[in-house]
Formats: sequence, C-alpha cells, structure tokens
Amino acid sequence: MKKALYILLAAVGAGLLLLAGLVFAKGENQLLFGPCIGAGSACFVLGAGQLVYSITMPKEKEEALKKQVAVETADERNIILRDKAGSMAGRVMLYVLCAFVALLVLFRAPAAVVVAASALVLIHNILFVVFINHYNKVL
Amino acid sequence: MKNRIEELRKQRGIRQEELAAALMVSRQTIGSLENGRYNPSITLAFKLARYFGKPIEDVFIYEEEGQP
Repeated sequence: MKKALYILLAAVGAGLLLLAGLVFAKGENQLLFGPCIGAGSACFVLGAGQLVYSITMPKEKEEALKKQVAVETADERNIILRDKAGSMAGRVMLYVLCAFVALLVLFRAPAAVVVAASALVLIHNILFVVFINHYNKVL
Repeated sequence: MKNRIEELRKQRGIRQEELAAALMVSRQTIGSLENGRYNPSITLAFKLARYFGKPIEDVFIYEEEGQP
C-alpha cells in the first residue's frame, strides 16, 4: 500500500517535471515553469527516496528502528531536554527581537515596521502569560 | 539525589542497553541516572525499583540539603 503511494508520488513528480520541460518551458504559460519544476522535483525525490528506502530496508530492521524512534520520542529525559531547549530558544529569541526593534528605531525605520516588530515582542509576552495560566490550571 | 542503579545493574550483569530496553527509555537516560546528572520522574523511579525487585528507598537515596 505504502509502496504504491510512493510510486504514485514519484510518477506525479516525474509528470510535473516533464510537463515543465515540454510544455511550460516556452510560450504563454512560462510562469508555471518554476512552480512545476519545484513541486515536481520535491514529489519525485520524496517518492523515489521513500520507495528505495522501503525496498532496501529489511522488515525486521525497519521495525527495530521504528521501536527505537518511539522509545526516543517518549523518553522522559528527551522530553525534558526538548522543553528546556525550546524554552531557552524562546527566551533568546525575545532578546533578539528586542535588539531588532532597537535597531529598527536606531535606523529610523518606518513606524509601521517598528510597530509590527514590537507587536511580536508583545505577542510573545501575552503567549507567555496565557500558557502560564493554562499550565497553572492543568498541572 | 544519589541512587544505586549502577551497582544493582552490575550485580545482575546486565548492560545499560538492556536495562533501557526493559524500561522503555533511552540508554542515555540510564547513563544520566547512573551518573546522578538526572533525577527520574516518580513513575520511572517506581519502574526501576520494581525492575530490581526492591523498595524505592533501596534504589534511591534521598538526602535533605545540609545533611550528610
């Protein structure tokens, strides 16, 4: 079932690539050339790659790999690591955003741009308060 | 919090990988527990204690701050 899906995906990708090369390369619809090449390449590579992977990977090894991924995903230490890393990244991003807003003001950027960038800082802080309240009730 | 996981594991002659597989956690988690870098959740602490067939107090040694 999955193999059929991968074959279909690769075929759609190849079709889009052919369409781009043979039909959209010249003429009135040249605007569609780029999107067709992009979408076609993505579909073809994804479909063909998954197909080759499913053919070459032994069933037992695939099952063991799936189990290992499930364990790694549900592992409590990994969950804490992800949460901590996400929290730290969010905190750093807040400082980066503040610095960005300061730079915008310093370089006399248009008011709309400064307000939009400041809104991001505000949204970050609002989300922080919302999630604190949410987890305060849940936990 | 100190623990006796490494000692109990070695007594049974099992590898970190085997203990990790039995408890459905990663090998790195077992390593961190043994090194004392990570304190487990109460669920994992009970799972470990049950795995070794011991009360939780025999596996984990809780010391209040300031006490030896």
